[in-house]
Amino acid sequence: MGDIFLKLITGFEHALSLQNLGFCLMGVFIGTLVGVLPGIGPITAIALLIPFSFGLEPMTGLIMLTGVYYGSMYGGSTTSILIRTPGEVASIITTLDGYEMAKQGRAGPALSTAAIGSFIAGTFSIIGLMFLSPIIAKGAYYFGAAEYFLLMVLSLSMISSLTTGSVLKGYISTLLGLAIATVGIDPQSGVNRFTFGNTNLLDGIDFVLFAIAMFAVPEALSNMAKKGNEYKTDVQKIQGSLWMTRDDWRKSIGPYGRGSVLGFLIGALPGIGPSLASFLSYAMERRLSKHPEKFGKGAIEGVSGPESANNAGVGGALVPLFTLGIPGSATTALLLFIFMMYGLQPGPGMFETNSTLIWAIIASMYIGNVILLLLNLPLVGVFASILKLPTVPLFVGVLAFSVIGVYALNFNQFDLFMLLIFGIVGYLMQQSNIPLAPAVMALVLGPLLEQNFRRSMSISNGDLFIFFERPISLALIILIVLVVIVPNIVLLIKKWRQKGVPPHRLGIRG
Amino acid sequence: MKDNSVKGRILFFIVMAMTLVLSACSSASSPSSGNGANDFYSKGRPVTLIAPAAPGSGWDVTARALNTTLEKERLIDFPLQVVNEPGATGAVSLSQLATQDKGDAYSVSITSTPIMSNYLRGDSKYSYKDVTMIARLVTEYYMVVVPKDSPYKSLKDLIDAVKKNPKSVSIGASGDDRLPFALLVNEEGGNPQKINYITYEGGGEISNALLNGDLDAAVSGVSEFRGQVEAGNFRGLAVTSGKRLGGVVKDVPTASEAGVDVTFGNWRGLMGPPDMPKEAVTYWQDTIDKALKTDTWKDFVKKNQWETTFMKGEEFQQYLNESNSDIKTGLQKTGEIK
Repeated sequence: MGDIFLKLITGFEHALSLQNLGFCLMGVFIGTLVGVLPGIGPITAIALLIPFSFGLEPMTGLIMLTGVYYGSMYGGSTTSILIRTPGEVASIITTLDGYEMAKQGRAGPALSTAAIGSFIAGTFSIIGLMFLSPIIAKGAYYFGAAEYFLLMVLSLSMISSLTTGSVLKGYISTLLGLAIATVGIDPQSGVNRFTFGNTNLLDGIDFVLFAIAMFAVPEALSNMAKKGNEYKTDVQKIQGSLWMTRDDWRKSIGPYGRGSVLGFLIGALPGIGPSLASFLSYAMERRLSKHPEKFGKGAIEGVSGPESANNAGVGGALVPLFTLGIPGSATTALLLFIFMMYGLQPGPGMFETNSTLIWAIIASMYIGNVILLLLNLPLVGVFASILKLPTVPLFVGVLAFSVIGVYALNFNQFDLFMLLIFGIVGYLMQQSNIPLAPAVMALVLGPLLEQNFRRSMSISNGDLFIFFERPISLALIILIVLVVIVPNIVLLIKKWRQKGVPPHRLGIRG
Repeated sequence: MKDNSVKGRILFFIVMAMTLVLSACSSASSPSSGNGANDFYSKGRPVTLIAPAAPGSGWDVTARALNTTLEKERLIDFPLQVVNEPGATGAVSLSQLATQDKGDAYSVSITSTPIMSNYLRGDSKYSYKDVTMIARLVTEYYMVVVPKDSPYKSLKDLIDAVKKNPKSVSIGASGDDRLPFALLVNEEGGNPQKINYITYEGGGEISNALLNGDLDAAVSGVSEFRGQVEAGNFRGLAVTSGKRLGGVVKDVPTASEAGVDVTFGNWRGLMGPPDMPKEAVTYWQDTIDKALKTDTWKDFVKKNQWETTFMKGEEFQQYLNESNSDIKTGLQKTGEIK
């Protein structure tokens, strides 16, 4: 234990050198920017900085590039909250309550809680990375195809948490998302599905594109569609303090802690990443809340939890990279490549062979998180003032921003047609009060659900028993039963006792 | 109120400007004073080097290695910028190159075997014949690995098990990585169509699935498994090269040594748009020939377990035709095409 602190202190000595500190600042600043910009994610920014980083010392370069990675998680929430345009996949869920808060004039507290939650969770996940890496890494690799499938079932069955209105409409939206998720080459068989011979559809529909089309475009269109006086009164006002109230703090403390732990654990699972962490955190907060009906209507917990979870997810994602040399996501795969370009091989033994470097990076992450907090809190006021723009110029700007963001994904014009088409679909859905979030989450989770089910079936030779035979899969099944099925039965029994109506007459609501 | 809205607008423009700065970031990286005689490319106008896949992928690594070599060794005197155009293993990027950049000399792209397999499967309208194939750079070989405590001690053990009961042996392989293993099984008289392939997103996920026991064996580019072999977590059963590779995998036998006479490599090269000017093609061939002989490049090759296999002109065309028919045979044997 003392050994770890000694190493950490050495790490700080390196990380606090003027040069490393400067590049750490630069990394987290660029990270914040790319987080804010939809379409340009951490992966693009890191790729763009590679030629530049070759001229640097390995330690300095890696400190800067990891800074971009965790810095982007801070910025991602900003546009979600202000203009309903998620900057990153991991911030999709933040649009639900964050944007509602902004509409109620509480953009300040929403942005503040996102920044503070990010700081707390970011710091927590570094502590986790220091002390728990070996254990977490072991646990994470016991997650096989069967476990992933069950985790997706659990996540998707919580999708009702995302709907505030009609349950039926929530399912319509979910099914739309799942249907869209099947477009493209099926990886297991190589068969093309619903591509209509179009090369651009072979890889399916990008979920950042879809999220922007579903959230930003309909919101912009419906705001601009309002007539005359209607929209004049609709200019958003900032009410009260930009800072969080005592009540906000009280409500947020729990979600910070739970989001940090959940995000760190989920983040360590290869192939899943911070997006699922933020989504599960939202669902969990809603289940635990005494006022679940307030979710989707501007509940601060709906911002605090997910924004903590996605930041903790970054620390989690570094666990398998540092300890096993296994990249869990495209971004960590790119970091792995950069390690190798510097002649380092992440993986078993990395903590011993490159001790100084690893501990300097870890120390720089502590520093980076503090810088990010100091950088982001003053920006809250600046960002929040964007909402004082009159509706039309603001939302024309949002549309322009969406187009640039989507084009920056692949530099492909076809993506812009898709943005237009799905934007109109989203607008029609919004007009019919069909919730949009389930469709987006289903598109993110659908492929993981399907591919892992089919992998499990191939591995087990079609034997469904694979879902019960391992300890983790069994635990997940029990969790699904407890979280999804039991509450419904309890609810039915309660209603039946109260009213004397037989359960089958009641609508089941999950 | 008015003041604030002005501030908001200014902020909006700042953010926009940052977008531009960011996207221009890589082109701004030091154009050097070159020493190669170059009449074709002017000093100012930047050239785009397309990596038709996501950052971190094999194509991206190749593109960035080439870019770094050219800049570090001062072989070019114009800015060269790597742009990622991911989509459908290169088919999306290829259709743009083949249709929109005709006769142009300012976009070149990394290419490799999927340009053939995509076309043969019908996933792409364009093949290597629809663009200008400039040169071959490197060849990457495949490795078959099993977890360290696997009952399969040799390549033959594994293939025998696949022949006996294909369903019970799950093989991790993504996309075109299935081909080399299919050829190995075919050589030993097994039916490649019955192999129980399980596809994952990338090498990281495959490694994980081997560690947790979901997979019995896997096949992928040598560099994907290098770290795990070095750490002793995986055992390499065979590499598909003609002779043994060096470094970490120097103890892994070739397939022929393991008793299965198959060699199969994935070449990577550079291509340009259709009707690319002759001078430009010659320029790239000469420059690349120089670049591949530098220490910077040799270092990349060593780290990634590639083999530099430069080839151009008639010889390259002939090689491409052979490679194409090999892949066609492979796809027919796996039953992917008729």
